[in-house]
Amino acid sequence: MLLFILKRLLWAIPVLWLVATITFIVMHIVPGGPFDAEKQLPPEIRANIEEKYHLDRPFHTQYLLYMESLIRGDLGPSYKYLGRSVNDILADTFPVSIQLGVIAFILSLILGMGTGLLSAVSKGRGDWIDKTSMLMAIGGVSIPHFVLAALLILILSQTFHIFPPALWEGWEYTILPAVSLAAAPAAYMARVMHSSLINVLNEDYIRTCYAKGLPLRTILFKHALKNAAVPLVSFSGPLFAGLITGSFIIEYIFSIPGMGKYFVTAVINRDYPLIMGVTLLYGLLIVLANLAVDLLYFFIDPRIRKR
Amino acid sequence: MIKRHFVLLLLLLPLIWLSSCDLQGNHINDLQTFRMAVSSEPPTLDWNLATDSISIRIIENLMEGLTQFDQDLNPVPAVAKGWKVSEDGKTYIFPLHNSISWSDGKRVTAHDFEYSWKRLLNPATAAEYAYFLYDIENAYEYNSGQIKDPSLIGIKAIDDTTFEVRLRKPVVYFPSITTFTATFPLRRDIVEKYGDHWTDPANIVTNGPFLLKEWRHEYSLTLTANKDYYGGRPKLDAIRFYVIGESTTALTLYETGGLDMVSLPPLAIPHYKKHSEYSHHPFLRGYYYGFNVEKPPFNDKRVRQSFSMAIDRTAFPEILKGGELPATSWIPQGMMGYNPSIGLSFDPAGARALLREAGYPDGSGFPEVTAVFSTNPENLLIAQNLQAQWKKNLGIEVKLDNQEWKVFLKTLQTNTPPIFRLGWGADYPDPDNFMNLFTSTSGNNRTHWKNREYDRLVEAAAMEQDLEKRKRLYDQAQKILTEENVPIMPLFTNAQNLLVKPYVKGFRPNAMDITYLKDVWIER
Amino acid sequence: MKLSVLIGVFVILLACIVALFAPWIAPYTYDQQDMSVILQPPDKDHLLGTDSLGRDLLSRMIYGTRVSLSIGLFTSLVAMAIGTVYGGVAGYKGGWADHLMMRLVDVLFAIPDLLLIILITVVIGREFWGIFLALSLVSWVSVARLVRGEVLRLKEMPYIEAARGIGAGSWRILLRHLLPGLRGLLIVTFTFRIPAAILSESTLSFVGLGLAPPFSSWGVLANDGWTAMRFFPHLMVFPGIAIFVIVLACNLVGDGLRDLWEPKSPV
Repeated sequence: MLLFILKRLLWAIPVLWLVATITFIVMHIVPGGPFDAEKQLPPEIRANIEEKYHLDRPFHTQYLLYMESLIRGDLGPSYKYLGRSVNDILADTFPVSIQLGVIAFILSLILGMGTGLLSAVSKGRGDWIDKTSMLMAIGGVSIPHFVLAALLILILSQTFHIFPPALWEGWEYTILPAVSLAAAPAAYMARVMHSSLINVLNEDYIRTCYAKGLPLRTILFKHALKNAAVPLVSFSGPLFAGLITGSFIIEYIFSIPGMGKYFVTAVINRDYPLIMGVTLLYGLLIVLANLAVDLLYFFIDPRIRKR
Repeated sequence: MIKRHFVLLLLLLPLIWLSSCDLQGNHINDLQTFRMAVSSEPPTLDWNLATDSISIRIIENLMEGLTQFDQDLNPVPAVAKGWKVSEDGKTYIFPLHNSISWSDGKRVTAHDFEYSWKRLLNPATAAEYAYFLYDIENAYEYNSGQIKDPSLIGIKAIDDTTFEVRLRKPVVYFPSITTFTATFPLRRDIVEKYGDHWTDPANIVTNGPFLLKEWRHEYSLTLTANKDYYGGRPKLDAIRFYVIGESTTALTLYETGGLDMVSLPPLAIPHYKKHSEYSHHPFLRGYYYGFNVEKPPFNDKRVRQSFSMAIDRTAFPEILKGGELPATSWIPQGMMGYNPSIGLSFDPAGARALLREAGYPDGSGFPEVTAVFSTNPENLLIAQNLQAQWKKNLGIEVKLDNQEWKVFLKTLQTNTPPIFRLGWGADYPDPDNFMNLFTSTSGNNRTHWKNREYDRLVEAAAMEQDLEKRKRLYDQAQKILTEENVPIMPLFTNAQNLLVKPYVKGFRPNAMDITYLKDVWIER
Repeated sequence: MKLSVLIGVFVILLACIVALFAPWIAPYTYDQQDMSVILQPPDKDHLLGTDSLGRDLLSRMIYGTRVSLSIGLFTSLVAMAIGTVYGGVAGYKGGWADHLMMRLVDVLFAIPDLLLIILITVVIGREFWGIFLALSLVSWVSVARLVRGEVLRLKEMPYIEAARGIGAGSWRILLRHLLPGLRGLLIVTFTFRIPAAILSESTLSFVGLGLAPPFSSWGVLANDGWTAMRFFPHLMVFPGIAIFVIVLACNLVGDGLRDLWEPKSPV
């Protein structure tokens, strides 16, 4: 087991190297550079800036220089935010995104699995529960989250003054953005849970349980749920990585100082080091989350263990 | 059983951890705190390096330079007591107040200006706005690396209170340039001691009405009153700038009492037009479409004139709702030299006649052209409206291409499209800042248009001391630009649409969109 | 056949007809501007109101059906197809092949979508095909992970082992035995990818990478409308309803199909 984890962690190195290399190449191919601006720079000043950031060097030299500083753990200076290093920026904003992301993740797990479970069990009996939860799920996923956020703000803060409409000053400020973030994944989880639970309930071992006269609750929680959750597990790994690295739109609407915005703004600004920084961090989290997912498979479904 | 509790614990752990986290910002409910929104994080507060309106807006409340502009946008003395110009118009002497101090108690001297200006020009600083000082002797040569010795530049602190500037040619608007943040004084000791981090709240040293107290990146900046400010302590205790990208979010915050002033998003304007808190102000920002005069069919000036005449510019304020001012001339309202009678006005028949003359009767045989612009809601609406107007009035179907911002800039540089959208906001309130744009040497002239007469007129105007004569020179130049040659067609100038709470007193917006807050107070 | 499935099929067919015959159905064209009726709420001339340029919202939505429906359906189909094959093979082969394939997925997952999309649209152009290709290429990765996880679980099932035991070939097992087990998950994922694709197309327009104006799509309309929600709610509400209805229809059909294949009642 320990060996497995160690091996996977070692694998993170080539994965991240590949991510870094491809991103580095793509970002330099994409037209437009960090210092193209509406007010065009005189060539002399442009040359000064490019020299300062080594942008005048040949491509492979830039790549080697970047990789060298990356190995030292230095993600370089931001081109857009002068005087701030990418390390500083990530250290400032990542914790905020983690806080919001974790809350949203838990919320979507509870909502998604709960609704899925409820609707699957009530299928065939209380049909309306099934139908309503499905409608809710469809609503959750087909309402764009910027619209959901705008609706929540309109109702809960503008009309009833229950939650603040934006900013990041205390726990009450986390509710609306977390709900907006959680809605779509929760809806998806509910649907997946619903469909996979029904599949599992049709399997022979569950039928055996019925035949043995076990109560529904025991069958569900002791036997069915674990198996039904497998597709959710592989979904929730990347979901978790995605949620804790923040969302551009939600941070934008609620003015939250997280790092999600950089996935868009760094690209728009062609802030090369910052693009690399957020990408590598996200890549690392993806690797870790997927490792966690694979470990979870071991625990949940013993049959996978004997590969 | 233990297992289930374990799962529960796993779920709860993050919550416990979260509740222990410090989400608590410091709420400020002080009576004399002014809260407003800025649309993005200021990229830097280093005033030699700041180029964007947000950084500048904050720096203007922290710092003062040689001059500043008054409500009518004329330069008036600030740290300088005034200025003297030599006979030939090439040497400016700025005598300084001797009682103005930095926030750490040291006096502001001419040496601080000399250091700042030389740092601005130093190639190693790589400052984008170094070219503002290119009219100074040897400034260009030093910045471009042709000479290495900064003492050859025409910038000199003669003593602590006398600052001398020698120019290459007379520049009548030079005191306007010194209102610009990039030219504000700097403390060598501070910059050298803290390096890139000298603008951190703990390190920064300033001389203006407010002090930088706290900077939470991507979230807020807090400024507090400078009790030692030479103009008297400002009435506000603090200013808080929140970084709020989405304008509807800012509006909601304003309405729920979280902000004291807000700039209205376009679609909200009709709703507030009658509101007592609403106000509307001109803004020195011109919006135009340029032509690539080297590529057919726009190498024929009749085609360019025709395209400009086919546009009914009164449609723009109706579409954008922000009280935009339709414009056929280039110098914006509120600036010296503004003359709305110049330019080609809406004349569909005349436009069609010109098009026929150029060989495209009713648009037949006109090659396929694409208008290129960068994406934002305003540009999208205007481009689609122009497309419809050209189709209706000229019978020409112009294709549209909205590009992502940096891609658009690259396109402009490498392969200038036949028609493209750009704008220009004033850096300093002098018409030269607008007119210089389309001279043949300007790096920002993307039209490839070169006109000796225009260049001569603009250069002469920059040296002309007599206001009336200067205005006439600009009139002539504007006629060439917008009537005869038409490398660009101005469309309108933007406007500011603000909501300000009734308890905010003394707030006077200006057309530079810079919010000076030193005279503002709150009265509940 | 259940009523709900019929309704779903009917809605989808209707949307297809609307898309195909847009020029005949729409009361105006998608780009016809009328300065006298800017931002009108719904009335009898403009059943769903007008936008900032005085264009008829209903007509823009009818034309937008073409783009949104094809982007939504086709990009989802392509993403599902690539993702299922890739994930299926990885999960079924297992071992080193699985490991390598999944690490590659990790790599693709981490590279910023936006960069790839900018690159693709710069190369191919921002016509329909550029957007279509860009969105398809960035969205199959998550499907691959999902399918691989599910295949890992399924292939240890007794019936698969039995099939293997009696000497069935890999492809036969994949197609005849694994694929049916994946149906539920695939249907749900497919129906959820549709709105995701419709909406990512609108996010693209948000950063200036969407469809060239004045063409319209539901995503673009919803995106244009949401900031005006308080002042001109019709701009947001109607495109929102359109997206909701089409997703609902896809879900109804999906559920119906699943029930058709797995008619057993669980409890």
